[in-house]
Amino acid sequence: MQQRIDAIKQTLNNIVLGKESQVEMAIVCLLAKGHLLIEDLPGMGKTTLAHAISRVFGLEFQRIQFTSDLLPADITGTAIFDRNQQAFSFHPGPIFSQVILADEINRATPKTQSALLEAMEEHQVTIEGETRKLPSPFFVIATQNPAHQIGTYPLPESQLDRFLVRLSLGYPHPEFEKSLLLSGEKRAMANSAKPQLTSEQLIEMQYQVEQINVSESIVDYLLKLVIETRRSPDLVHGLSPRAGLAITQAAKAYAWLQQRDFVIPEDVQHVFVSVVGHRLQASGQSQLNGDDVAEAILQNTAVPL
Amino acid sequence: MLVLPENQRQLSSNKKQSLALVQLLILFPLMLQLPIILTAIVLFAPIYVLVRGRLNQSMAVNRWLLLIISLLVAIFVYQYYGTFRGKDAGVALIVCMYSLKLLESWKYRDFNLILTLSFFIFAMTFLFTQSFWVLPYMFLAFAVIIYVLMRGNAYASISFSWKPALKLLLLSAPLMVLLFLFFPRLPGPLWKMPGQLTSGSGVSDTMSPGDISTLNLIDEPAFRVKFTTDALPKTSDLYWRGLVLESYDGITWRESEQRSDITKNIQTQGEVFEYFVTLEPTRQRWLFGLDVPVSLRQQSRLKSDATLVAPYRINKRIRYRVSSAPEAIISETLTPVARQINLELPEDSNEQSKQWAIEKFTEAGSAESFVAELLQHINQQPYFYTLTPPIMEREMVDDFWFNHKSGFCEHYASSFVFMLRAAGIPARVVTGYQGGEYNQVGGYYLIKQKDAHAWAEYWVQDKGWVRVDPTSAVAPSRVDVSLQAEMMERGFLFDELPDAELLSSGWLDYASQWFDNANSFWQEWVLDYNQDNQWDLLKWLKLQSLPAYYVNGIVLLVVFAVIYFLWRRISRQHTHLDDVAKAYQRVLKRLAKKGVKKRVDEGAQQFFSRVIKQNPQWQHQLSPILRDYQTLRYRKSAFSKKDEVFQQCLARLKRNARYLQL
Repeated sequence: MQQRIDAIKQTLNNIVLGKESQVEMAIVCLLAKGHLLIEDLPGMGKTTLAHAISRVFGLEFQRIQFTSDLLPADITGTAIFDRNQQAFSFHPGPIFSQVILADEINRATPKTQSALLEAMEEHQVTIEGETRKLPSPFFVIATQNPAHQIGTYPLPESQLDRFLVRLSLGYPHPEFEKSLLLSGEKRAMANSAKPQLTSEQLIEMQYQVEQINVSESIVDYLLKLVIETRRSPDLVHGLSPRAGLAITQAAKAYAWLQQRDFVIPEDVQHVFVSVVGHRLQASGQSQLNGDDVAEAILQNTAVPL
Repeated sequence: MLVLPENQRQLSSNKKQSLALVQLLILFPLMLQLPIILTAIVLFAPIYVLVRGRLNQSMAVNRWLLLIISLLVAIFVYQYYGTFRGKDAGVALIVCMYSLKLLESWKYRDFNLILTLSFFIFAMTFLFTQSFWVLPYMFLAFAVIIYVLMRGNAYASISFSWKPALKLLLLSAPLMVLLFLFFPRLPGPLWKMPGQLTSGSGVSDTMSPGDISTLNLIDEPAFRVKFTTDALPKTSDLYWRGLVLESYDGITWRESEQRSDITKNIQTQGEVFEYFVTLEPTRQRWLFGLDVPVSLRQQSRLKSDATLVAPYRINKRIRYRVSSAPEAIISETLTPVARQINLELPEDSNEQSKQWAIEKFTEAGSAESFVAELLQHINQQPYFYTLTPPIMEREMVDDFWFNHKSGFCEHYASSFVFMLRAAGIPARVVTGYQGGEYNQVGGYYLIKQKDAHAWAEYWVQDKGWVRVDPTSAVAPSRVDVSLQAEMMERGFLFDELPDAELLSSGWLDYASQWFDNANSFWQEWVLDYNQDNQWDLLKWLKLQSLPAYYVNGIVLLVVFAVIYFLWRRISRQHTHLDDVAKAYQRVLKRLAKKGVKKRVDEGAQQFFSRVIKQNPQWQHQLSPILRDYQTLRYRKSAFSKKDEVFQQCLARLKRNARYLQL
């Protein structure tokens, strides 16, 4: 199994150059059955990465470009009157797919954003009173521009909490940028990437991740971290219990990637900032963001012996 | 933990209001000591903050305005006292600035600063009063400061309990007592407040009744007397003998210099009372005892005129033991020297009185009937008792006896003795205290400065010196109106007051007696605890009789015990470690000795790989340890302790940890 993952990693790293850790976290997110949020400036390769992931994992893929006039029905689909059958027939929207790429999610109005909510949390949508199951595995990759850009509606906290991992790609290393400029656009490569996995195999992997053991000592450590966020004066509020579960999930997935069947504190530390950063809101006058505070908390919390 | 720098944290309106309340609480006892105008200034800032806060208005004051206010207040204080030096002016300035500080408190650090200052500001109250009531008030004030301090620095201040503050205060109390008792003390105060000397009632070593125009009654304790015998003396016998004044120059009565040549001759008879006297500092050498003191413990001396004298000046409160026999006879026979001293009168003064005395004596015939005649005279003739007598500088006795006929005990005693001497009867003035208030709670007599008194003694063959109190002969109707109530209450001038009166006291009396009892305890055991008392305590603990190395040993033991206790407390924060953690810790210690320390946020895997990277030669020793540790810690959460694999693994980890050779 892990060899396949290594191959996937390899492919992805060929497409998105010099972003090994981000690629790894994206895979962790997928294995932990979480949704992924990629936040960065336009043109940093967000869409390319999202695209490549869905291709490589061999998943059915739909892309929704979010704009300010996008309506909920555009995502979920609507029932349309069929003249021949004299009845309404349901036309599923792009959400009925295994991977949704929600591009520039914060350009849509909150109403539309929240249409994604139910789908993401419950893996189902309710249209005109009828609840429909979404395919499995179901995975939302959203990209967004930094909130201070013009024409954005910042995602509500409730929705941010539903993303397991937030990644930020950042500018590439000059060396990689040079090779990127030499070899031309990678988007085509992403589109032509071969699937390395079937969805059954992915589900099997996700099951194995579930089985990873989390010992009491790890839970103690995790609780210490969570409680520390609640006590920190630099944060508006601390982490929710759901965030605690999310860290556990991600840590398990990371441990599985490391070919271990148990979680060690380093796993928690590795995923902590990515999982927690977007859920924390730094308070008032401090010039810090959630990631900085999460990093500081990590550095100041002792690992139980 | 990332915490905003203090200088960026702002002070909320609520916190400022709580500061204002703390200030009011702290300043209240000081305000009682300040002049009323300064009190108003001091009240301004906290009340301004409270009112503005209540109205939800900004408390901001312009910086320049504030500067001007502060300068004006400082100038006013200087104007008022004429100086910044000394207790009153200094305290006034500090207190004003302390209250104004509230108006310029914006930053979070000001909050802590004001509260810390509050502790010191409160201590200034002790410059003015050291009375007992300050103590409970201080505890209250300190509890409030600690509470506000803790609440202000808490993460969530919405529901903050009083309990931690009280607990802290109570926990600090034993430490405070311990330091109070054992912290080394200096023999004298480090510094002294420049005090003011006030004149008032009390006993001094001379007596010049003529030149006093106003006598102030001072309502302060002079001494307390506790009888060890069950029986108490009769109220009419409560004359506390202080000094015997035998030499008179026409104006002033003094102790006679020839007195030391006379041998002591006191015969004890009748009932003997034993008691302890706790004397307030007098800065004089004499001591007081119930008339007639017959014996005395300690180094003090009983003189031939039945007065007590200490070997040194009484600069601090002392306690001594005396026994007295009211019926004892002093000097059954009079030596020629003593007779001469006690008959001496200045030549060419008060001739009218001398003439009058000789006439009356020849009429009366004997000393006793002459004394009775004189008392009768005072009682029948319009003699007045007043604390504001006219000044009688020359021919004082004539002036008093025939013209003014008003004065206080010194005038009466002085004139009375003069009359007796003029008639050829040996007589002298005795000063001391008369009366006293019985404290039923503490079971002691409280004698106040205002109980100071002077009376007369005359000598009769076989009876020795006989006490006579001419002041008590003044008719009650002729006592100064302002004094009458006081006199009736104390009844010391008139022996008619029955003993039973003492028992029928109301609850108010009872409360005031209880208060004096508490105050006396406070005085005796807290305020007067000095180096001597400390040495006494150490002596009582028998520390001196122990060899020095014993004492050193005890001190070392105590120090080690404290360190051990603290260490236990600190190490307990890691909770009790299980075997796995202990073994792991042992490895960590071994590695730390080799110079590789684990950071707190480092997990085992990260740390060991770092170590092995730096010291590849240790890989063989460390890898199994890491493997076992991770297995035991992380692999199975519900490892049964009895599981064989678990036990084997644990045993191996322990063994490897113990015999780790690096």
